[in-house]
Amino acid sequence: MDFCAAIGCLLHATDRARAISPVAQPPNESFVGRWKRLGIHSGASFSRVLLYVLYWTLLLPFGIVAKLGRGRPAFRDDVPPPNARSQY
Amino acid sequence: MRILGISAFHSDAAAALLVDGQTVAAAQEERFSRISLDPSFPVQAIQFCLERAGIRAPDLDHVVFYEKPLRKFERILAAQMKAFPRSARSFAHVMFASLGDRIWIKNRITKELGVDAARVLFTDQQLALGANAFYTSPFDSAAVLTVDNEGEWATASIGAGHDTRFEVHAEVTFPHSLGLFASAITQFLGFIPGEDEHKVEALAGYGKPAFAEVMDHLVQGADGPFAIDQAPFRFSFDSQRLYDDSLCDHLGPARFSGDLLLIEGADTRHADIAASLQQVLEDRVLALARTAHERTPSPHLCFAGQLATNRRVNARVLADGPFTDLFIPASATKAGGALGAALFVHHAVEGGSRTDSSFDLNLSRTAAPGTSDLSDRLVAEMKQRLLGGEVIGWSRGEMEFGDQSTPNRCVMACPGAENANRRLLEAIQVFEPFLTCRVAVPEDLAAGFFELPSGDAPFLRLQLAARERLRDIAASAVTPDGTAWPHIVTSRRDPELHALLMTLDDPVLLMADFKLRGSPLVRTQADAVRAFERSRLDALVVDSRVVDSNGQAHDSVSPSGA
Repeated sequence: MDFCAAIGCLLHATDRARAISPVAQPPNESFVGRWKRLGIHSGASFSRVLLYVLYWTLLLPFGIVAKLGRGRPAFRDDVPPPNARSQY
Repeated sequence: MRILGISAFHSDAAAALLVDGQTVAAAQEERFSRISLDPSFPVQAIQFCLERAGIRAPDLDHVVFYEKPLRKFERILAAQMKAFPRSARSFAHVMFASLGDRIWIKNRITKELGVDAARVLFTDQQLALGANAFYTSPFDSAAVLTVDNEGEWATASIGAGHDTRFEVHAEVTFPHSLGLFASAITQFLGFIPGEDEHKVEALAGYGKPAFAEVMDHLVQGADGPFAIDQAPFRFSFDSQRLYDDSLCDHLGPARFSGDLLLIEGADTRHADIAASLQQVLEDRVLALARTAHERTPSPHLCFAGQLATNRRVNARVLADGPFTDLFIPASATKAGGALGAALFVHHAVEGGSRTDSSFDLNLSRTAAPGTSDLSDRLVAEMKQRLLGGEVIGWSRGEMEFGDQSTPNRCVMACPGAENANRRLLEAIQVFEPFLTCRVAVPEDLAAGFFELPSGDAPFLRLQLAARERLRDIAASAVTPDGTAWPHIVTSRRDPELHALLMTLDDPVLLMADFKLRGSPLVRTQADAVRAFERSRLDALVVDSRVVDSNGQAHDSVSPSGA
């Protein structure tokens, strides 16, 4: 942080602050902006925790079955024709 | 018929636009966002393509995404489950990335571009890479090989193209991936996976394949399709840490960034690991090429994917493989998938005919073929500066679409100057002492400098044995194994550089891409000037204008105004 602050001061002193203004903008924004960012970060963190819990509960039996299964062969020569409409 | 191809969310996002089968524009997002290998949705590249064609997004007939998002999600989820419980820490990170953006790509496209959902199509990644290689090649029929890191399930594919038809016949499936294997060893050697594979390739020239037996054990399948022992690797489920600690049992302690690199003296272990990796990559790709030839006995091979950027692999496939001619597209990696996806839909879905214009993408220049726009005065000044030992940046005409080797945006130096190779690379903030530059030579004199292959090949992507004359002139650009990276210049494809080379007594120049460490290739003239200000270049040539390192600029136009 000290290093970033020193570089920021140096850029201001040499009249080159515009170079970092786009990335320096978020910390300077309004209370509403900060509140929104806090919401986004909280949501992301909550989602990660939820995914971690899901991994050890709902997905645990699937994980055990998948681990015991043989998996796909390394090579296949029966490639189906492409279907450009499908997302799968 | 207007078809927009898009690739995104892996590395180097790009967009490409076809109008009635003609490639109107193709661009990588990184050139606009100025973020190296920017994987984000290529909004600016799409805008560039549409503006170039003079159309609006709702006018598009099709928008094609280069991969199948649901199949990729299935593969990611299956890999996480297969690695249970080792995948516990990476699961949330990987799922968050997939569920947050990638899986909703169809909605994103319709929302961003305002096109009807029915017009949005999808191809497989390997299909898009292969289509890019075949449809931009000059061949009517060819075997097609792709060897990449990851996509949906396929990591490598064997196919064939004939006229407007292109089909994939066989594929190697995840987690057996030569690209990810190379990335894991890249990380093991303390470099950045996904970015620094070319450094490990360069390092291979300094070592001996002392670990070849270990590598052969890790990547089995010397005579055909390969399979990778997954025990010492984590790349199937963890995108951050690609190898397991047990890999140290095979290769010794891992190197971390900043550690001493063992490439000279008594201990050359790191160079030996790189050389062993290189050997196994060459062997396995060669085996796949032979399998492709058995299925499609054509003299031509079109090759794409991450491994197609490996110059030593390409040279080995051409030298020892069953094919006479090898073609590698201008952008062989994911970015090229955008163009490949659009080309596939044009030819295979819409039944469009092939045009020669797609091939011209490799030759895009501002000057008409065979004519040089350089004034005599500018050539004389550049020659004088180069012979004086200066390192020059050169930005001319329009940017090119491609991964590397872009002569319209290059830096160059005369090889006769002291430490020319190192000075040129340090001028663009590349400090690895083992990296070498490209060596530009005129096509008609190339055989005197390099041991050229007998067939036709994309010379920009080969590492060839250097002849004695080149070793005398440009010793610093020749690796210890006696090879160098040729940049063959023809008067038809690049008359300006050819004209400059022919004014030199020894028509040889060292070249590198005009990009500073951590930055993408310069796009505009303003980018070039900004990069020049941050670099240690002695001069910058922008079209006919020359800028000194002290900021002095002047036009260099001949009295006749030529």
